[in-house]
Amino acid sequence: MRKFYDLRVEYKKGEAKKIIERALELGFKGICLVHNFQNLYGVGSYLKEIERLRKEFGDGVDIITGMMVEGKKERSLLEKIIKIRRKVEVIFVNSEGNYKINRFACSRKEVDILCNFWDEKGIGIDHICIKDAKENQVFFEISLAEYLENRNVLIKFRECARVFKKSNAPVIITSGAKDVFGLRKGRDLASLLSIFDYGLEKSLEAISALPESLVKENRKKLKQPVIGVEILENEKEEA
Amino acid sequence: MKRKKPKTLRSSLREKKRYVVVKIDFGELSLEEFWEGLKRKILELFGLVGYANINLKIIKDTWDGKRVIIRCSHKYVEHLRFALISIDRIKDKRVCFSCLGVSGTLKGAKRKFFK
Repeated sequence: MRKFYDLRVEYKKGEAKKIIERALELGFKGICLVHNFQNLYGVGSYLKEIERLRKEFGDGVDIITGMMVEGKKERSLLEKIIKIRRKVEVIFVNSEGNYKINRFACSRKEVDILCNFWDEKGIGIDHICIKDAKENQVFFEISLAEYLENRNVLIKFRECARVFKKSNAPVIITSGAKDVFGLRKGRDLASLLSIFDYGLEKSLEAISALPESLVKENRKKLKQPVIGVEILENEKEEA
Repeated sequence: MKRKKPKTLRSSLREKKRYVVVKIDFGELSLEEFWEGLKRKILELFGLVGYANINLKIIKDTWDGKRVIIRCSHKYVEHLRFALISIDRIKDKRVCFSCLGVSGTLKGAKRKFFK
């Protein structure tokens, strides 16, 4: 059976428990509560709260930590990303359609997901961004919440589906929910891309297998004492 | 003796259908409100041609206040799913729908999701 992951649900301290309960009801295997990065003090309290929720819910649902980073200049963005890279599992960059930020985010291995990348004229990315994103395992995000806020975004989604299908770019689908009303079933969310001839199988992967592999890979990296160094488990001594 | 009604189409000429079981997760709605909201959303998203292609029909006797079965063309199940998830408000009430499952027959849909 397919395991669905919703990698972007907005974190609100009071509502986190309700959101997780609803995600369990909808059959999600994992859910990422995304916090907007302001300062490191905020990150500490967020991580403590997530740890408490993990203990409360146990193995029922995989609670993933995520941080949304925004910035208008590459340098300030990079500083923020470096500060939190070793603290959270998934890092999102919200470019708000700025091509420079899109290009920068796609070229950094530290970034996991690029969201809100389309601009007024088009989808805000080109073949160079897609090539870089493939190399650095940066995923492009298609979110239901963006569509619910602005119906015209559907035009961008159609163009994204066409380009991503042709270039085989890494894509994930999320709900982008801000409260319990915004959450939807994983199978239903797959229709965001499948209605645009993206392919049902690939759309389903974009909300199940791909997010799962991203989280697994990042957890593996976080266990490394230094980037690139891995601690192997002790092998049993041969008699 | 001449027939008054045309015979039923041969099964090979009939359109294939799917029965989608829809659950109302949040919001108190009557069947009419739900149906109007869904129709309006489909017309907004896919237009009149899309609405005709989806070939929507509600199975009224399956309505129990929280669940209902909708019949549609087998090629447009994804379109129906998309229309359902994109409804967030009906008459200023916040609502949320989810698809419980899809079946090829009405009997199968009832057996799987209504017992």
